[in-house]
Amino acid sequence: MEQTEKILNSIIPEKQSDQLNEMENDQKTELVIFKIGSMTHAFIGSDIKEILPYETIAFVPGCPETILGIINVRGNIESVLNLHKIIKKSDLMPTRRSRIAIAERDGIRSGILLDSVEDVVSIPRSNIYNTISTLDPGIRGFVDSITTYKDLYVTILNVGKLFKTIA
Amino acid sequence: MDTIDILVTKMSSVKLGLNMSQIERIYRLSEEKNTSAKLIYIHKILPFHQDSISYKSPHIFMLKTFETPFGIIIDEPQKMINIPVKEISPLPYLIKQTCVNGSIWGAVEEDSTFILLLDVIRLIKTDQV
Repeated sequence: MEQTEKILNSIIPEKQSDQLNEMENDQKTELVIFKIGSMTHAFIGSDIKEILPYETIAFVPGCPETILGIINVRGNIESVLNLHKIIKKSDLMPTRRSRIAIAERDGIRSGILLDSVEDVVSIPRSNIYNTISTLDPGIRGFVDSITTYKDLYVTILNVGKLFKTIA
Repeated sequence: MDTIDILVTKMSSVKLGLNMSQIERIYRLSEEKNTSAKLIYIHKILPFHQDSISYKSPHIFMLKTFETPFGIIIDEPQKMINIPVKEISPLPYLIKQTCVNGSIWGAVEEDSTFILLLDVIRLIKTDQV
């Protein structure tokens, strides 16, 4: 076998494998899995720009209770939303597991305080299902779809709908 | 305008910065004698979402622009500072959209916290007054 052919033979399966992987990735959706109280939820990964450790949030009077206040992120001021209030769950004190997810959708950007971030996963789109009618009324308006993660039932929240309910 | 004079006061651990150009005069609530002046506590028009708000040393901040004398009661001013306009950070969209009449319009960092800039004229244009 000539050298060129040998090289081609060695790289083509690799390239084909890469292409297959890309195709598979196209069929996957990245999710940021998090907890609010005992419930597990997710955001679409592309809506989340970064995840920050909890830091003190400066309260801004005159805003609705769904806005906790503001933080400084490398010189930029970001608002932080109280997801507990938005989805009508009892408030919890922030802990060392709390995180602030910086989300952006439809030109609106804000932090969202989460009780914990469990994982960032890539799941096949075929594992994402339409929402169900038995969802908690407090959350129903913000849920686009559902999935499962480690045998847990996960509601995927729409960042744009969360923002719209405040603005 | 390169700088503005800001009067800093504190309410429930929130530092508020009032534009000096909007203030006619300041005096203690206990010294109030003008019964024709309309007075309002700041927490009545700028919600702090607390069961009760305590005023350590309430002062009346009489505003400049009204024919009828109008005063807002806030805790006593702590200091006056002159800040360069370029040091003022605009507030995020959701704060601008939701804060009463856009009355909190900017922020300045000080000692790892913020002074929130309050436009008192915008604030009293609310229907609640």
